[in-house]
Amino acid sequence: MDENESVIDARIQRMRPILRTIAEAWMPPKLRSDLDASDLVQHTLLEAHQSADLLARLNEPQFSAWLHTALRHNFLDAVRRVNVLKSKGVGPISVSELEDSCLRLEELLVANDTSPSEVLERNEQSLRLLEAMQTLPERQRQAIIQKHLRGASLKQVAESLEISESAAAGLLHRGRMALVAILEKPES
Amino acid sequence: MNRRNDDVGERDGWDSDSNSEWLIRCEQAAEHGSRTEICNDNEAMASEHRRCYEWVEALASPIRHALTEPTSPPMIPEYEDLVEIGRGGMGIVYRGLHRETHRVDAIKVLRPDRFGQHSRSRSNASSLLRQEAKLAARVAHESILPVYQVGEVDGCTWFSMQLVEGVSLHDRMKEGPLSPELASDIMERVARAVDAVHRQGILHGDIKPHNILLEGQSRRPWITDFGVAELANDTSSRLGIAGTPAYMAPELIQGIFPGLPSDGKPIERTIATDIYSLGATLWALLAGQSPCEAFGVGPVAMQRIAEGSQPWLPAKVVSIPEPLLRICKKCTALDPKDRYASAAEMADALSDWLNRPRWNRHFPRLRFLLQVMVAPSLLVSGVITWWLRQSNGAEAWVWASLVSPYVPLFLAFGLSRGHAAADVRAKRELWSMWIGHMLGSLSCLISLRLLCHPNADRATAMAYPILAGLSSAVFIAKSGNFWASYRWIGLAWAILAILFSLAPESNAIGFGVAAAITCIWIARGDRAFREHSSATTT
Repeated sequence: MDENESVIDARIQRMRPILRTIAEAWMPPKLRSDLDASDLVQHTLLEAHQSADLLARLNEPQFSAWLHTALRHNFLDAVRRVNVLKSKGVGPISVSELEDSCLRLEELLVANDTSPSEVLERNEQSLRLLEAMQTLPERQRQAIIQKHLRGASLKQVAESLEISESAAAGLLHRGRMALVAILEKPES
Repeated sequence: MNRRNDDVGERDGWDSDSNSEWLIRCEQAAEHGSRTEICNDNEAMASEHRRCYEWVEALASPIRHALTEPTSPPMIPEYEDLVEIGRGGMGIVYRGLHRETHRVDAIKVLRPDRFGQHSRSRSNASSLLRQEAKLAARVAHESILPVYQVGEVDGCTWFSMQLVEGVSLHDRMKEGPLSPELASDIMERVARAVDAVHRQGILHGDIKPHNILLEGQSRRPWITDFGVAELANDTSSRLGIAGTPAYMAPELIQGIFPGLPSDGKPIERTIATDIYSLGATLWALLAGQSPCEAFGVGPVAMQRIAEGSQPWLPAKVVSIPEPLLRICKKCTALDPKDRYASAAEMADALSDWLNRPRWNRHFPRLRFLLQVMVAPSLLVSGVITWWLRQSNGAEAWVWASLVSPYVPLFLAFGLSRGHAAADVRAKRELWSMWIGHMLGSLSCLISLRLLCHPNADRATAMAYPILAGLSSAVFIAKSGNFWASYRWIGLAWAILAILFSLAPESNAIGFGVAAAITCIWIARGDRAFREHSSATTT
């Protein structure tokens, strides 16, 4: 593997945990049993490797945009497939609504020049937060994603994970402490 | 119920029976923004909970916000049929029908999802939105959206303004760089609007392609979003360093990087910081990409901009005309004193470029005629006049030879006028100057002949210094609005006028040679003749 390939491979691999958190945050609870976020991310990264020549020529915002677009397409394709397969049981999943959400997320991560001055650090910190979430245990991660990325209340988090409110509060607090510990460390 | 390992927190004691109820109260209090009162029974742990909650929430809220589906429009009594058409950091913009007037307006409403129902930040944001409406309403200009009404609904401030159907320049840039003519035309009008804003004592603070709407077919630009605008010298301003890093002046970026030297000067927004943003916006339109895209978005690139060491080179290969690049560079000079003193000055510079003479476009053969017809005829005329005078030729032939080169010169100008409508200021100025030169020359020659009567040779000898002097005046006058080298040509003709007086016998040849050289120099040097090859590829 030459140097260019290893550089692009490192850039792609760095996005793995970030894309996985994004995919999990997009995932409505009722689809969680039918869709696997890691499969979607794996598929997306495979496409990225196949397009390594193209990606090597892109700057960071364009690179992120490419990966997010690929993930979005894969995610929406998967949602459509599930809708077809389970057309009676799944209930209405509006593809356009999901697409809108995806687009908005992309705006946040890619449009680096659209917000006030704090945006300088914010984008990088946002990416680090999404990355750090993948280091949490499964249940803590689910709780944190429900609470902080999907805006659920403590009660809704508890119901979604089928645990008591006190257990959910414990999960959330331990998850947050772990995230803060990671994010407070200077980036290597 | 299935409890897994990470559901219980025996290891850190946070989930023990005694703490579980307390933890729920802390969590619920954090959700409702009233943490202190409820969680003060264990201040250290409460403080840790609060710190972690706020840390994660601060980073997660923009991401959550990005994932949020469009919110349902508010119920504003004055308006109906509200449809969301855009959202920014502080507000959501709806299109709505005014019930009384049946006019379709744009209504900007404070974002309820970003500012909690009872939070202090909502009242701050409300006052900022009111301030935005107030400042925008103070400026009456054809490119500033008029504000109609301000109100409040469900604790959220809103204001209505004229609805413009069009795209932002940011969206337009996605199709590629704008043509230099279109970009200059838009930015000239934007700069005049910003000047009107400044004359009201207001600093916009966030000029960028996202905040300039291009109205449909008319291509009329509209400046929007006075969200971070403030009154100049407003000491009570709560905005601090606001704006968009990619379009932010170096002296403001220095405020983001406290390590950078700021010469001890207070960091504040001024007219010069708005002019920097205007220049960066013009550059972005010409390059088809924002400075962020070209230079990168990290702190290193920002630091280079703050230090003035970032060259303004687009990442893509684009062609930017040299004069426009100079305007961009003047606007984005590191030292605010080196920038245009006002937005109107920048608008004037753009206007001058838009009105520049473009002979290659209007009359492609003029350059050819100057080199092939006018220059040789001037040379031949000089030689023939000299020969006629030396050989005591008939006076009528001497005068005919002396005046003859003016015929192709003014024929060429006459034809050029026919090829282009006189709608370009530069063209009108040029035409007036040469008509003046011709009339002045003819009247001087006639006067000379009458004054020197019956000595015709003396009259022709005196004619050349006068023609040279008049040429000097015309070229010096042209140097102000046209090619700067005309001043050197004018100076040379002034010297020649004196020399011709010293050597009256040979001044006809001297005049012919000098005039021919001048024609070729102009045809080869004047940018108006080289327009198509003047673009700088960067």
